[in-house]
Amino acid sequence: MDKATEAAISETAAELKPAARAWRFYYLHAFLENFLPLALILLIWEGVARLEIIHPALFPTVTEIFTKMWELTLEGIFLRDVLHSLARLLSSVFFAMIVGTLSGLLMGTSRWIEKLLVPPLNFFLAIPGIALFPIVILWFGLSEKAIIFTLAFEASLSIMLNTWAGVKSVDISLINAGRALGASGYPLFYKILLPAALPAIITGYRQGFSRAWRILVAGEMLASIGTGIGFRIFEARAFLASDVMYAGVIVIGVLGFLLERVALRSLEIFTVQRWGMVREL
Amino acid sequence: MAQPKLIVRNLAKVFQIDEGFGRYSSIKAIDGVSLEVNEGELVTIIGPSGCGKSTLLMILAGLYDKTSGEVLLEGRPVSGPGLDRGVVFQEFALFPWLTVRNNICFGLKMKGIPSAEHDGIVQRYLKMVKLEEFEKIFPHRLSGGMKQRVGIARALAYSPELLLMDEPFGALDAQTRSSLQQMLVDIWSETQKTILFVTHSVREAVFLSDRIVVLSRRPSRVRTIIDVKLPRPRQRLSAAFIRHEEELEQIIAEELHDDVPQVAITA
Repeated sequence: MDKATEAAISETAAELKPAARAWRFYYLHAFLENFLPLALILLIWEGVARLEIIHPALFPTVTEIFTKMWELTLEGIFLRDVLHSLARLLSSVFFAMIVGTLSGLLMGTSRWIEKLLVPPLNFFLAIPGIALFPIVILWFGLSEKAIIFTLAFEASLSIMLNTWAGVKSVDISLINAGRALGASGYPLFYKILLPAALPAIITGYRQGFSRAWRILVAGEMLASIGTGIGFRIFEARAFLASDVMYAGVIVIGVLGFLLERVALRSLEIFTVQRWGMVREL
Repeated sequence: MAQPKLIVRNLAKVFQIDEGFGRYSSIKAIDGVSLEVNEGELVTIIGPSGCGKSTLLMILAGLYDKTSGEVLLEGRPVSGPGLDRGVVFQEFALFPWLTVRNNICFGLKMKGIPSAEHDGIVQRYLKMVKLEEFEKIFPHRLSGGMKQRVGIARALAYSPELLLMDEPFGALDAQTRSSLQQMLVDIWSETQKTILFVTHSVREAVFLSDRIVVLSRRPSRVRTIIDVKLPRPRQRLSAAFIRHEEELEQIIAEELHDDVPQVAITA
């Protein structure tokens, strides 16, 4: 290989090495990118509300909503609601991740486990999570356990489905390469199948989170659990406190947004995007 | 004379295909292939498209099951995949979640080679495929030719007895293909490995091989085995080279003479 080609190759190799970024600019940039579009919507909202096109009791201004949020925070109720809701979500999804990923992986690799689990999986996926609540409340009473159980169950269904599909669609040549390199059984499982199916598994986590999040709010309402954002919104209707309702809804949106953009996207960027298995967004 | 490294006797393969809805059909891909490869030889398998040469290689790699026949490597029967063989795939099959270095180390870890030795081995093979500076890079940033070079390094790193290559340069452009052919010959002379190479390119076969095994159309048998006595380094445009090419083209053309269309089988 001649000197010129060698030099060209060195240059390319150097370019490809990950460079240190100016961290403060990166995070500022990311923050602005995510929040400016939302801030714009809030601005428009404020304008429309002040014009009182819709009755102010039904359509409070942004400032009223945030003032209310602030008041509730000071009372300590607000923070507790957020923390309780998040705790329910995170504990149930955590459990669902373990159960769902494991069973999805097993379904994707074992013929008989697949045959056993696919019909029930499809059956339960068809039932909206909310419809399960009354039954679960009968079992566990109006309790945290009822909420967490239902959320975990629902989220694991999504995760199972996506993991299973992911494992089955792993490129056969990767499996063959793994086998040719001496992997079989358990090592083949976690060294090849798991990372290869990761893009689909993360999609499953994403769906699991959102499925759980949605029924969390409904669940808190149904279980009359006393704390939680969903409960707070529901309770507010007795007082026609629309600003509380809006505040609750905005918080739900923001939290869901943060979970997606901060937690899941980071996981994605650090794994499948870095490996080139998913195109950069 | 020493025992051949690889002995294949009467290998046959019938595929049972699940057509869905309870229907099955069977296709005979290989119909009694026998061949021998000696230590340190570079042998090419060539044949008309769809004749089962890749299937044959996959069976030798232990990735497909054979229906009947014997495969002996160093006198031991071969049944499943193993670290006594190295495989290079047409689609490269590098693990995208591992860096170049970790791809190469995969076989080393599986073989139980102590990690203190990994650095040295990785460096040695990266140097052989001329990719020393790409050790920490992820595969998706590499071009096809570079990926295949990593594939070759990965398959050789744990010193298998036999290197099996399934149309490894088929997905590459002509220029890259030529330069990798030369690189393979260089690596081969440096490592003295026994190599079995599947291709459908006559030119490639004549350039690389000590011997060429020509398969018939599906269901395949060994049609003939040609000794390529050209001295190395081989000149692709020399008269002797071209004569070999013509002879081989002729044989393959005869195999394709009938009007029955060939269908490639994938399993």
